Amino acid sequence: MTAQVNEFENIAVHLLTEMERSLGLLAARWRSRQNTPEAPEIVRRYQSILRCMIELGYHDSLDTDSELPDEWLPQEYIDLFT
Amino acid sequence: MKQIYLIGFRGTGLRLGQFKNEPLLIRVGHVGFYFEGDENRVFGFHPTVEAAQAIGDESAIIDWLKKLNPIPGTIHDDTDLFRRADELTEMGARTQVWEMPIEVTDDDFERKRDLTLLWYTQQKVFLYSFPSEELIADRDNCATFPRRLGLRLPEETGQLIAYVPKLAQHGTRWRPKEDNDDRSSE
Repeated sequence: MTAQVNEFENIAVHLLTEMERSLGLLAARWRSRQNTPEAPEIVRRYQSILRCMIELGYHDSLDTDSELPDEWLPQEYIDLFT
Repeated sequence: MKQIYLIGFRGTGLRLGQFKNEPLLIRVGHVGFYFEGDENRVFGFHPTVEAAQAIGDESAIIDWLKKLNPIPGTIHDDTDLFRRADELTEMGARTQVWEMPIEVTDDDFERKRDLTLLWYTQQKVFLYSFPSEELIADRDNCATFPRRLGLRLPEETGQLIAYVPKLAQHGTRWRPKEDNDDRSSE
């Protein structure tokens, strides 16, 4: 049972790391396309991933260049630090 | 052949109260470079104080950068920032500093060092901006700036969450020179 728990924890950590990297890519994409029709969809995907990370236990401060401007960050993320 | 070292760390992030009084670059993360034989002088590219202050306070600067606006930047001696980042790991910060050597010919080494010193002493201005999806020819962040010297980057976008692990993968943990001296004398 303990081995299964450890394996789950390892997978969760790996998953969070990959999701965190995907936020970095989406933030860079949003910066490039913020004035295009694609921007709202990028924000939607970004927020979905970050909310999912928080559900999985993420409670760290993202790298600054991986964050969207504050007005596009989900409230759940802001609330982690207030 | 001689070595030029890329060196970098992920920042603490802006939102943790524990680190709120640290310099902005400690919280944002930073990449620099130094030359073999001059290990105690780490150069780094970032916005000038004057240009940053013209935009406003810290939150205004970060908001400006998050929206891909550029700020004039220059090369600085950022050695103390890297020392501080290393120190903060003792407090649980994710600011481990990694370095990766790049081997160049003696002639190339001299050219790159002379060019760096020229840009540093003349405070030559380049445009700084956060990473975008594709590199913009006339803009760099700290992590992509070494391309201006013709150095091969370990990761092309300059996003620190991708770049710093590449430094770790291809390099070793950096420790301040004094620490190395202490260890070698033990």
